[in-house]
Amino acid sequence: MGILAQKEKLIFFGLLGILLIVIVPLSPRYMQTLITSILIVSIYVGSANLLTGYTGLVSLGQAMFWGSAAYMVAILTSRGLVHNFYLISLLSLIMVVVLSATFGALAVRTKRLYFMILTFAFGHVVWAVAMYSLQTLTQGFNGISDIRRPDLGLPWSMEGHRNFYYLVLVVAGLCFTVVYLIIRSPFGRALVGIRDNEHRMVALGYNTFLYKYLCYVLGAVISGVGGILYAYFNGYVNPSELHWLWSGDALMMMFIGGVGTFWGPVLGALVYTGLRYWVSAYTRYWFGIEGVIFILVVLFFRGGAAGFLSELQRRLSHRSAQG
Amino acid sequence: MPAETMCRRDPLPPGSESIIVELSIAMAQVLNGLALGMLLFLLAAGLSLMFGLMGIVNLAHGAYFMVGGYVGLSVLEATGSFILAMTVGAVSGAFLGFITERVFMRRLYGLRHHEPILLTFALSLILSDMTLFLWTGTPRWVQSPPALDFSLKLASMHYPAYRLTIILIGIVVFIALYWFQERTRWGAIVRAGVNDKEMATGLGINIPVVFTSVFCLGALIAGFGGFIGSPILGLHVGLDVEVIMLALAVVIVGGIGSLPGCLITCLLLGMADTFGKMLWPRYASFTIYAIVVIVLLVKPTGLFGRKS
Amino acid sequence: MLKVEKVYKNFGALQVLRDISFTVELGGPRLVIIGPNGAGKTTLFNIITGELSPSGGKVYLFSRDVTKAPCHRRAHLGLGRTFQIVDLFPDFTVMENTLLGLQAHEPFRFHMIRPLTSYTHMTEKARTLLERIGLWEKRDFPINSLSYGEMRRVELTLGLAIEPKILLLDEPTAGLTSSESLELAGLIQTLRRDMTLVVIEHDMKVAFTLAERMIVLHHGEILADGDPEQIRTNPKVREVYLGERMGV
Repeated sequence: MGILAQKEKLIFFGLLGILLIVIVPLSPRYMQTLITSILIVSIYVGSANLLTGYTGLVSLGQAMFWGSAAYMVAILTSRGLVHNFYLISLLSLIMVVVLSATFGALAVRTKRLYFMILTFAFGHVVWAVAMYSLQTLTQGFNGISDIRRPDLGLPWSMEGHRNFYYLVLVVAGLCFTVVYLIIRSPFGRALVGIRDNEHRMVALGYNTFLYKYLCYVLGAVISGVGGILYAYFNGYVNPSELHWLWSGDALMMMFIGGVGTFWGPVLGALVYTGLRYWVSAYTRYWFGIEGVIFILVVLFFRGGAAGFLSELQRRLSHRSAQG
Repeated sequence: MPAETMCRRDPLPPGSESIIVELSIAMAQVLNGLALGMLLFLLAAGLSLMFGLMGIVNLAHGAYFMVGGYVGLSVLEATGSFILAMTVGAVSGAFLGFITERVFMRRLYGLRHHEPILLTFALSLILSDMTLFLWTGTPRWVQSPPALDFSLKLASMHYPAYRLTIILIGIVVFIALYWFQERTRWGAIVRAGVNDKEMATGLGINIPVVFTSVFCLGALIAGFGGFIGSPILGLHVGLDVEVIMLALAVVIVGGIGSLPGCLITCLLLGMADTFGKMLWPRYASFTIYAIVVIVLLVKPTGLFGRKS
Repeated sequence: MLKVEKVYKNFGALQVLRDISFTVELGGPRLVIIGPNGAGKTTLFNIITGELSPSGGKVYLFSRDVTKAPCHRRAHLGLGRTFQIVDLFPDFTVMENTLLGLQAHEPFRFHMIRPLTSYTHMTEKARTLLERIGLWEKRDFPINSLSYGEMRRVELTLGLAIEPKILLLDEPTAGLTSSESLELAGLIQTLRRDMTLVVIEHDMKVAFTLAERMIVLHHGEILADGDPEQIRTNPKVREVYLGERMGV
C-alpha cells in the first residue's frame, strides 16, 4: 500500500467504498450474506494477525474468545435473560477480558513455544467444558439456536440481511481502524520490535511482558467482537466455534492473506471462505485440503495474497516506469 | 481408558476384602498409567529428539502414531501376523517422517518465525483427513497378540500380560535411545543441537543425513507405538490430536533436552491421566492440564528443562 | 554510579567469576576491561545488566540494590548496553531501529492512537543521533543491506538512544578492520563526558586509546585495577599476556 501514490490511494479507497456501500447491498442475497460472513471472519483473523503477525505470539487458542463471546450472546438471548443488545455485547466482552486477562497472565510469561502449546491446551479445555461440563447451559454439541437479531434501538431493523450487513460493515470498519492505529502507534511499533528481537527490546528497557499481555487482551477483545457478530449473524452457535480447528483456521487464513500485513486478514478470509464453500460442495475432507493449501502458500507464496498483490503492483509500476 | 481390573479375589479374612479390592484397583490403575506413560514416551521421545536437534515441535507426530496404528491394523487383517504388522506400522511412520523432513521441513530451516510448526500442523490435518478417507471414522480395536493374551497373577490380582509387555518395551526403547544419545557420535550431534552446524560439517559429519535420520527414527518409534498401543487406546478419528496434546504436555512439564526427564514425565502424566479419568471422567484430560498450569506457574521453563 | 560487590558466578562446577568488586562513578574516567578469552568479561556484563543472575554477591545501581531486578528496570535506571554480536532489528531500517531505541523510555511508549511519526521531536532526536554517528544518509536502508562496520555503528546507536548514564560497550570493535576500529574508537572518544563508559575490549590498540582506567580480568578474577600506564608495565599483567602485543 505504501507503493501507491496519494492519488491512486484515494481512487482505490473510493472504489472500495462504492463497492461496499452501494454495490454489495444491491447484489443478490447470497452475495450479501457471503460478504457479511467474510467481514465478520476477517475481524477474527485481524485479531490473530495482531497477536501473531505483528507481535509474534503464535496462539492456537483464539477460538476460545470468539466462541465464548458467541456463546454468551447465545445464552443471554435464547434464554431471554438480557434484552438490550448493548448490554449483551458489553457483558460478552467483559467475559472475554476476564478470560484473557486471567489466562494471559500465565501464558504470556512463557516462551513462544510453550505459549503456543498452552493456548492450544486451554482452548481445548474451554471447548471440553462447553461440550460436556456445562452441557445444561450450552446444550453440548447440539449448540444453541434461536438467536434473534439484535434491536439496536435505531429506526432500522436488523432482521433483514441488508441492514445487518451495514452493521457488520460499520463494526468491521471500526475494528480495522483500531488495528490500523495500533500498528502505527508507538505501542504497535514496540510490538513488532518484540517480534523481531525481544532480547534487544528488553535490553533497551521495554517491559515486554506488559506489551505482550496488553496485546493478548486486545486481540481477545477483537476476536470477541467477531464472535458477537457471528452469533447474531448465524442465529446458531455450536462448540465448533470453540474448537482448536477454528483457532488453526485463523492462522491459516492469516497466512493465506499475508502475515503481518494490514490487508492480510481480509484477503485471507476472502480466499478461505470462497475456497471452503467451493471445496465443501465436492468433498467432506475440507481440512485436509486446507492443509494442502496452507503448505503451498508457505512454500511458494510466502507473503500470502497480500504479498503476491504487492509484488504484482511493484512489477506493474516497474513496467510502466520503463515503458 | 476404562478402569480395567480383571480382579479375581482369593479367599481372605472378612473385612479385608474391600481393602484388597481397593488396593488391587489402585495397583491396576498404576500399571495402566505406566503403560500409558510408556506409550506416551514412545511418542514424546521422538518429539524431544527432533526438538533438541532442530528446534521444531512437530505437530504431525501424533499423526505418525495414528497412521502407524492403522497401517498395522490393515497388515494384521491381511496377514494375521502381529509382528509383521508392528514392523510395517513402524516403517510407515518412518516413511512419513522421511517425507516430512525431505520434502517440507528442509526448505524451512532457519526461518525465524513460526512457519515450520504451522506447516507440521497443516500436515497433521492432511494426514488426519487421509486416515479418515482410507479407514473411515468408525473406531477400531486391535486384539493383543494371542501369545500375550493372558493375565499374570500379581499379588492378589490378575493383570494383562500385554500391558506389562508394553511397559517392558518402553524400558528397552528408553535404554536404546539413551545409549544412542550418550554413546554414539550421531547422538553427540543431537545433543549439541543446531548451533554448531558449520563446525559439525567441518568435522565431516553429514548434517542433512543426520537430520533426516533423526526425523525418521522419531517417527519410526511413533508409528511403532501407535500400533502396539492400539489394543489399549484403540484407533479412531481424533486419536492423533489426543495423543499430541498429551505429548505437548510432556514437552512443557518435562522440559526438553533430557531423555530421562522425558521418561519420568511421561510416566507421571500417564498415571495422572489414568487416575484423573477414573476419578473425574467428565473432565477428560483435565488433570494433565492442571499439572501443566501448576508447573508453569512455579517454573516457567518446565521441570527438567535444560535448553533455552 | 555502578557498584559491583563480591560477585561470583558458577556454571555448574565451573567458576567463571570470583570475588569481583569494583565501583564506577558517574562522570568518572572511561573504564576499559581487558582480559584473555574466557576471563569472564561478557559474563560480568550480563550480570550487571541482569541477563544472568550471579551465584553470589550484589550489584548496585545508583545506590539501589539491583541484583534481583529485571533487565528492563535497570535500563530505566540509566544503564545502557551494546552487544559483542550485533543484535539489531533485522527487518527494520536504520531509522526505525533508532526510533525504537529512542522511544524506549518515552512516556508515550504505550500510546496506541497517534502514529509514531507524528511525534516530530523524535525524528529530530533521531536525526541528531544519526548525524553524530554518521548514518543519517543511510537512515532508510534496511539493516541487512549495511556493511558490517555500519551495523556496528547502529549497534552503538541503540546503546546511545536511551540516553544512559552508564553505557556498557561489549567489544564495540569486534570484527572490524584495524582502521575501522580506530575510527570507531575516535567516535567513542567524542561521546558525552557525563555518560560514563565501561568498555570490554580485545583490541589492545583501541583499549589503550580509550582507557582512562583499566581493569584486567583473568580466570574470573580481577588481576589489576587502575591507571592504564601502570597496568601496561605491571609484571603480573605482562605475564598473562606473554606473547601478546600490549598495544604499543
